[in-house]
Amino acid sequence: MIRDTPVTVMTHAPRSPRAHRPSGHRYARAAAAVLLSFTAAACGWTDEGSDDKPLTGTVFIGGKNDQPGFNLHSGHTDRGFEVDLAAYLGEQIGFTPKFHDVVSAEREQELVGKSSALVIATYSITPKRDDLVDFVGPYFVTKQGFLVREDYRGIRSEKDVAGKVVCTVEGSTSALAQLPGGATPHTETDYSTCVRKLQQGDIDAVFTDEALLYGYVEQQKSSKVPLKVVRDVSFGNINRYGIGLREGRPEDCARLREALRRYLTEEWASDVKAQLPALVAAYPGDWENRFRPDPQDLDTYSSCKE
Amino acid sequence: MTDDVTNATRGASTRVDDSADTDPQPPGRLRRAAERVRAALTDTRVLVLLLLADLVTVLGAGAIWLALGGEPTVVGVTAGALLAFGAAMLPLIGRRDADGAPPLWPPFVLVVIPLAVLSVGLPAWGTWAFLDSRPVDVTHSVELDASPPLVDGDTVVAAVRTDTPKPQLGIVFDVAPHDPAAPVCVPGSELTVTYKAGAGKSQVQTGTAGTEFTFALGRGMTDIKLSVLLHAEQGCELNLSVASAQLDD
Repeated sequence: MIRDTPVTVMTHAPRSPRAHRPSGHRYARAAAAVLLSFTAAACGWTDEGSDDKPLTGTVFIGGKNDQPGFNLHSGHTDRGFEVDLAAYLGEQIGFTPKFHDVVSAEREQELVGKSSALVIATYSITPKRDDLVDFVGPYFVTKQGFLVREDYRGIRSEKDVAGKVVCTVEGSTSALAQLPGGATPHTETDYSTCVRKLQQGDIDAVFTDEALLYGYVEQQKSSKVPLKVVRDVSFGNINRYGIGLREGRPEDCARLREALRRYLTEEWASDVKAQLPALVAAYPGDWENRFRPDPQDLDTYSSCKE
Repeated sequence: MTDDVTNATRGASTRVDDSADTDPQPPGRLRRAAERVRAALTDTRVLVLLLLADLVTVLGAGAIWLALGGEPTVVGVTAGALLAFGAAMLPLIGRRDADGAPPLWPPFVLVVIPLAVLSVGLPAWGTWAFLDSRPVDVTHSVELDASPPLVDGDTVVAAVRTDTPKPQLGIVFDVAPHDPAAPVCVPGSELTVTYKAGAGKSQVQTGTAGTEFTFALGRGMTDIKLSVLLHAEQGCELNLSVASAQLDD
């Protein structure tokens, strides 16, 4: 579904063109257009940016809408690290990003079915996905960890995970991680549901990428049930987030790669500081080493090699 | 047989000089057959070429038989017997009657034997030398003693047994994700390969998958063992295989 709210909050001076969504304040005037957009999305086609044209004009980007710190759609506002990244890429390459909601399990279909031209949705690069779509990246590197209630002391070491109810999201790489024997996996369609159940006490922990978890820590810090990430307890692989695009677009791939290379050195750190303050606070002086990819990694992990 | 040949030769001489001898001896069967062949092959060069082709075929077949794994003793004895048979036929070539009649076959025919040996032996030796100087592919002879998946810190022994020892081994390992659905981690992996020959100093090399590791083995090494230590990221599960392995000079 294409989001119908217009405001994008970015961490630095507004970029032109900037990431935006179709106007929500102009319902009356744009009712027909919105209806058409819904129809288009339902039918699996869009007006521009999702066909095989180069990345120009309005480009639909598949994104999450429930991941604080990366891409959170709240009220009439979109904000997060990936919103900033999309805006930077649009400015550098010359397109106007327009986010289109996508859940983890449908990201490949979003590209293959041409609903979106790009996917920027905490999308880990895997060999299997790489067989279906192309990647440009990584733009973020993260281990996987556990989110628990702030007053929870049940997980202090890796062996403590045994016997706990742990929530992950279907279609994510975290669902594949080998948790210790005895841990009870609980799968949801999105992380927000996992977090809600965690705060309700239905589960013991949420297991996914550390970077995502710090977004929820920041989001819930003022709630009745604040959260924390368990330090130094990690399972599964290191995840590298990449920008997904359809196969067979080597020129777009190369343009995105070079724009992303500049982003990693020019804007990455300031955007992380603005959008993921809990992550920065958790690893003072070390967060860049832990989470920022080496710009040279783009030549290793991107589908298009230099 | 020698007597028969001698008689046959005499018979031939008698027949040639039939006008002067009033009591000719009937020619022997072998003599008659040889004379028919000679009559058919009026040009000696054709005969020489036929003999040469025959010997080349025999020796070439022996060389190929040997190359395909024939027992060298059997091949050698067979080739020797054929050559001995040819040598036993020499009296047919050189014998000349007392009255000066021409020999059945001219001595020039003798040239075909060394010529045949050379024409087969030299290419065979050249081929052998070329093949022997080429690397020996032992890719499919390498055995790995581990079952996937492998994780960081796992060690695998790669063993090669060969009947064609060479002083150097070049080996390339391939590393693939155990679960393609898991996050990509192959580029972050490395291998440390160690070769230890007897009491000699260990040779240790580190590189990524796809790197060619080259080890000096020494002479006559038919059993080679390498220790392969995997360095991988946290949670990374990999499959190890041998992309290529060659023994060389």
